[in-house]
Amino acid sequence: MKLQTAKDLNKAKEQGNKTLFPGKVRINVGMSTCCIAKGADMVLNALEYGLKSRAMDAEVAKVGCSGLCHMEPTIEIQQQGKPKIIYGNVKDQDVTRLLDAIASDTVVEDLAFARIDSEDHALVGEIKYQYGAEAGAYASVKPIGDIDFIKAQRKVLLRNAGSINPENIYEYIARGGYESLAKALAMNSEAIIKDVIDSGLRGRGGGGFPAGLKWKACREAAGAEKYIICNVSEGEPGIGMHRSFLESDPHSVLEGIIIGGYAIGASTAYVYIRDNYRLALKRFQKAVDDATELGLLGDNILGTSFGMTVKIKEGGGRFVCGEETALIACIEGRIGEPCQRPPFPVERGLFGKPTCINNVETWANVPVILAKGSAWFNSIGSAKSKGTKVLSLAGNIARAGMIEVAMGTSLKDVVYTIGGGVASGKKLKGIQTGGPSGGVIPANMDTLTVDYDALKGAGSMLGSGGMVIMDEDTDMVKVARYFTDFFVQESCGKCVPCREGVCRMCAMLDVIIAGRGTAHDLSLLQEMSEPIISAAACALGKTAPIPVLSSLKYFRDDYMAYIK
Amino acid sequence: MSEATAITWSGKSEAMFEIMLGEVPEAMRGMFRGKLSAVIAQKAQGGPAAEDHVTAVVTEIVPEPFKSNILKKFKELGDFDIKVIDTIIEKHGTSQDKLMYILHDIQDEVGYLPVEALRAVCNKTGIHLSTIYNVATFYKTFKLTRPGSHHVKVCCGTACHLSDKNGLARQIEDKVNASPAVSMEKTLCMGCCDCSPAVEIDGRIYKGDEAKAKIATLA
Repeated sequence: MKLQTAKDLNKAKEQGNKTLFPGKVRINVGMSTCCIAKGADMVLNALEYGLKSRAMDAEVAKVGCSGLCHMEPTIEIQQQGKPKIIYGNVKDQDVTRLLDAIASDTVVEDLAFARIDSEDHALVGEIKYQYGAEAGAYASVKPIGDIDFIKAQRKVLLRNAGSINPENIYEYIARGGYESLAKALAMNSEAIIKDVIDSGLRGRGGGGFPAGLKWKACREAAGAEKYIICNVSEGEPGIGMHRSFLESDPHSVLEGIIIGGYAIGASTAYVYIRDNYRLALKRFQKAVDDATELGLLGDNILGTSFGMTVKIKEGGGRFVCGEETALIACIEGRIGEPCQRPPFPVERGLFGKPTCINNVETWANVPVILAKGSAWFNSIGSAKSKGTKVLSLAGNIARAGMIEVAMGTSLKDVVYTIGGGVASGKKLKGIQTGGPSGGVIPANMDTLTVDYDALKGAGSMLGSGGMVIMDEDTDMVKVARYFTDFFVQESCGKCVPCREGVCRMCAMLDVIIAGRGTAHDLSLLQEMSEPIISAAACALGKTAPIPVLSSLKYFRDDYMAYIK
Repeated sequence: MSEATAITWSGKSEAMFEIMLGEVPEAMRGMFRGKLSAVIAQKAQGGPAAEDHVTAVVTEIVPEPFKSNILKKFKELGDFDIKVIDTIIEKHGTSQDKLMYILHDIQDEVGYLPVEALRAVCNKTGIHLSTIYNVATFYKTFKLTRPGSHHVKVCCGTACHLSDKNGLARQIEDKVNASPAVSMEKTLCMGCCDCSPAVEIDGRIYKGDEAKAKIATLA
């Protein structure tokens, strides 16, 4: 089927609703990498076997990660006209009980996490699961709206994660997908770019540069041929949400890229995916193939004169390739060494042509802005950081996983209300934000908010949204050494300040940890950071001393304990 | 490259031929390619060139010490079919921006990047061997040596590093060093921070102690 006009989307929508509301039981099994690691594939096998042996008719959907990573494997059971029930910590031996419950229309109470009577979807509005007013046998399960962990979040980008089959394009379309694309294709590109500028969307990759302005500069750059790059190269340790995101809802990213291509005037896009993310790569490739088959990619998209191709580039496992000029070098088939900027990629980028590089989350925001309008988007968030942010909670935290909050949510809410506090039960020592290039925010500053400028002001950064929680037993000197060593390993070796300077800093930290350090070493560390920050060629080098500087600023006592 | 006589290769003969040429100084390689392929074509008498033909050429024509060097390399030759490289290059094309795609595909197919495969890529795409080697060694994902029949990846991301209080990574390393069938590498964050410390064994991710138990069954 090729979609010729925007109206054809309705037909695709019907097809998607056939599997989303199949008129029989639908069972969603979370099958992203994090779920499989906890045995979701075994549960799926048991489920399929169980259904077959009982001759039960059910639609089993392999969905992505629903953000309940702390209780995976998860299963959602949705019976026609009944509330949807989420089960957590499901083992393969529990499947029999679950199937019994379906047959007898009851609930397995010890596994049930929440029930969803209806959900408020960011694009299509209310989705009703339960038709009647009475929850009946399901009343004993807590409604999802009463759970703080869920209440404190705001799901906009993760609207489909865990509820649609990521490998089924029709289900995405049924949830309002590709409508923004149809809308965009009826607009002129200036109007789209104006919308993105007005929305206040800032690049989600780390720097927080206004996305609309980047688009505008690329649109206005000289040259007929332009490129788009979607950066999924989160080499930062402690972050898994981009993987989760592509595994759970790849089409939302793809739709954003196509809209961007139309607005900027680019007919080719490259999606750079890290080599460790095999499943994400596979699912995204499937998304691209499906979209091409439906005529949402390729020539004459939705019957217009606009055409676009999307190519997937598998990375090579180097952190530095997240830097945009290194990323370009990598796509060109060279080693990922950053180049001097300017010229910026928007003027001279991939193959010497103007190139607009945005992070995967930035692209995923675009369909939402188009669908709901820039004013709506602008109303979410804090004064200068708009919209929502997907965060990845990791480290010593009770509920690790992928979450989404409105910008401006305090770190306290993120760690305690959503994350459930420190897993070890000890006191919180610090929250490391923004990957190795960021810093560790001490526990007493947890009133800071998820906001580009607030975190930058505290000497850290939001980065792409990874937060690693550390308890009071954590030795910050060793943490600083771990990050510094990381930079030593990952430095491309092109410029001296980074290659030599960071290596020296790491050696000094080793001396301190060995107990041979002096107070002079601490000031020397600080002194050495300055030339590295000012003289390194790329962001990797410029941010390499930050872990040391921020720990010296906030956790000097840890250093003093070694010095005595 | 085009001056070489058209030969149909069988078995590993083409890889062996490339190894033989690899011993020739780069400047003279083009000339030797033509001459040696003519000799082999003659030996094959119109049929496909077999491995024996190449070995015969080496023993008869090549002087020492090159002869023993080449014969030694023949013995170390990976057991992969060089034809997969033709298919892969045909699929992607020969420009440099396709190089990483080619290397990724070869690694998927063969399991690692044998040096003769890199040479074959050089000959077939015209990309300098130094460039190919540069790329293959810069990116950590490419392996130049054959991994064990079981491959273990230990995540070195922040969360895994911090939660690995019992020195799991070290224990795995010791275990792996003791058993030749198992190889390991340390990788950047695998994006499974909620399973920390995360270890990938033969493509599946395990958490901490589970990984240890699994590894014990491998050896």
